[in-house]
Amino acid sequence: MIAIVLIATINTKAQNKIKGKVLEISKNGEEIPIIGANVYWEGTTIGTATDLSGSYSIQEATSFPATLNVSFVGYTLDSKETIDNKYIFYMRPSIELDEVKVKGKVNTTKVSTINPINIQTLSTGELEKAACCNLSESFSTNATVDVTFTDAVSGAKQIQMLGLDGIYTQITQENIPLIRGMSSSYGLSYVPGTWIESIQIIKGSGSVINGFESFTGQLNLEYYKPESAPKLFWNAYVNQEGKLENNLLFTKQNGDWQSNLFTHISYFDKEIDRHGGGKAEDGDDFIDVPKTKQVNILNRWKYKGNPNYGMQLVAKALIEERLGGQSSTVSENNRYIVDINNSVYEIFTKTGFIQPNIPGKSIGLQTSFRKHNQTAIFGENHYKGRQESAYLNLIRQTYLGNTNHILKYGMSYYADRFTESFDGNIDTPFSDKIRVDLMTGIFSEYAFKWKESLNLVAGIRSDYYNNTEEINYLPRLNIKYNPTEQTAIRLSAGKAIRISNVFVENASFLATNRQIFVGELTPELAWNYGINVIHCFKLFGREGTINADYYKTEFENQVIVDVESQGELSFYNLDGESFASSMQFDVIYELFDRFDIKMAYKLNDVQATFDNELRMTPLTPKERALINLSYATNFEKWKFDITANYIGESRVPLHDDLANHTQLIEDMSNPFYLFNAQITKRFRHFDLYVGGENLGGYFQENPIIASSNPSSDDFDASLIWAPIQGRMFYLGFRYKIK
Amino acid sequence: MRHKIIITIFSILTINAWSQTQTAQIMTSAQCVADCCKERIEEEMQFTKGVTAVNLDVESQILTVTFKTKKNSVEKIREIISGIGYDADDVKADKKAHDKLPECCQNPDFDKPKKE
Repeated sequence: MIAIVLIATINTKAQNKIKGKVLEISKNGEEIPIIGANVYWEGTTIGTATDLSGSYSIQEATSFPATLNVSFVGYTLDSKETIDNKYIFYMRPSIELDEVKVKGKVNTTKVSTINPINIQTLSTGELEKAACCNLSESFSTNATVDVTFTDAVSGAKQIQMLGLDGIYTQITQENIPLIRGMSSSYGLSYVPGTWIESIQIIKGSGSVINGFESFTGQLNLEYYKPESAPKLFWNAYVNQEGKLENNLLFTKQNGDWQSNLFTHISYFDKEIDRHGGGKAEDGDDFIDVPKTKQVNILNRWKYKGNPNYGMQLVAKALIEERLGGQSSTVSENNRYIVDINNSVYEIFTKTGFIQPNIPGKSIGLQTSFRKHNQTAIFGENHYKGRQESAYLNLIRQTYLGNTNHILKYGMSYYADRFTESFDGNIDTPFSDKIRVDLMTGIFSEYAFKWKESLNLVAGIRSDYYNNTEEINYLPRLNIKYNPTEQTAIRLSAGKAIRISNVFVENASFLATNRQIFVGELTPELAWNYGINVIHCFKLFGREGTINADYYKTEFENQVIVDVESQGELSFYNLDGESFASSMQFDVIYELFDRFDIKMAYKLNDVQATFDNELRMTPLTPKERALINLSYATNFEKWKFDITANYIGESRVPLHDDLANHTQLIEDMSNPFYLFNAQITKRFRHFDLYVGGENLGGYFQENPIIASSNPSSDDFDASLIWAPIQGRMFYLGFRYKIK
Repeated sequence: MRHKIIITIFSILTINAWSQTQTAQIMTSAQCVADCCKERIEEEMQFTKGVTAVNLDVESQILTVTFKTKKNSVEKIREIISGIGYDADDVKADKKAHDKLPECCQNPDFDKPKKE
């Protein structure tokens, strides 16, 4: 941050005191004293504050070389100079409510050896490797977050982290909740890839500041900001089947109010039925991808006019329709229809205050209000839901003595009202059933830094949940130690809680004729422990990174999704053991100039107690591996990228035997490979790209069980472990005016 | 004033006769928040004829450009930088271009009398 090494010899006539000033240079060039700025020797408790004239006097450091630091919240150091033995610091205002800002120039995926928390940042360059289309595809070149296939009819994709479903990962937008409740099943497709500036992936239990829901980690995405986005950005995409996407981003950068306007339209209106009936080019009367229409808008306003105060407001709106199921070749009377409609309206704000005369103290307030309506029809199953949410998070930051001891504390409030109706394969259909969830929490976190090499972040939250009338204490601890400058060892442990919403979170299982049983469900609780070792090395003069980690999640309570019995879908509280352990190795190395290679291997062991029997969680691959090669010519005028994914076998629960329909079998899926490739040509104002997904053309041959008779009890479109579509080519362009 | 009072005019030239390339260091007036002027200048240079390497050091505001002498010259490159809206050694920034820049990329000292 703000660090100046004073190599200068200290004047002995200065009576063991160092004097100077801290000044701000205003826009018209005036020098304004900064009152109350903190001037201190780094790593010590020796510090002082500036007086009314901006002057300070601090005793000499006790050991050399010493670093004199200056800090004043809301300001960053601009420059410094020495006049007559006085050390003058010039500051400039910088209100940055956005905590993380990382740029990836060389490596598009950044791993840190400094942060106490295991965090990876995916920059625009990495996100562009998957040119299509939304957040769910953003992880196709990343080994930590896995993209999984959900069902054969809705086109939804889900993620998994550390072997557990995406619901156990806290997904936030600029640290404000993004995917919760109603948005669990299709929410990843609500964020167009071109809106995202970067994504941070936090593995293991992170900070308590951002909420109580991070079991396996946190994914935080940052949209383009008014100050960093191009004035105009236009992206259009088309794939071989005729899916169209159009993204337009505008930015207003001048003045006290800066603004972004993002728009997204995607459109796909063809019935394609090439797969599903066994071998290639053999349909099953079910269309492979649903017909989709989406309109999505985001508008941000950011106020930058006052150095003591910063504010931004983001408004979002989305409408989406998905139409799938049997094609129009099937007579309308007994056609199996999938019709999913979503509309989401949301406003979120971020406000930051600085108290001018009190150094190092700031307050940040985040709020969010959302209304989400969903109707989902899967044949006989009809679901209707509404979620109205309010969220508030107040964070205060201060430090004790010096910035080696940072203290954050605050309170949060989550209010959700769910109104749900369901009719279909259930004993007791319900209509407009209301549930109100109120989570009121307080939290505090202490971060300690010792000599650059040891960091400790210890936090605790306590959240009161109205429906159980219980206070849940969630401690979290992160420790990082650097044995050498190139190596970091991290340990983390923490607890998380969430409230499940079984119908929306398991929408893929509604694409079956399973009879649904819902027990009395209580909040899910789990501990997560992990260790991570990262080492940066130099080989033949080129830098590389090697990473190894092991994480384990142990549930105290979990809502078990039981599809073990044919024709049944049951939700009940865990009775017994449930855990997920995940081990991962990564190597990143630049083989020659601008040619990067990334390799990763992951081993998952995920088990839960299903009806008194500890079993492997179904449809969760045991092994995964990834190789990504990327090459760019000078100035990245041409970029080439190829990724190979290996997806190991997973357990497919009891289902109708395709070879012999009279019996049921339980088996393992086939391991398979997926290949994606992309070529980008960069021109002065625009990029042109072409690419292909699933180049090997691997697909699950019979994804829908009993597809010829969707009214039969055996019908099941949810046992999906591989793509249901074959090879797919696309092309698109990006046009930018900066 | 803390700002660099004397804008030193200097171009350190190294000519590599072998590959007919030349590396020039040009003092620019690119002082901006974030890296937006860095991106702007570097991107323009990347699409300038003959340029094979470019780097703008934000702190010193010195732009280092390597280019093929057959295809370009220091004089022309200075003109291009002026055309983006920044001073390049003794070539002053094009005022129109400068005023069009986003606020964060503009030079705070621009158009103000230089204090000596």
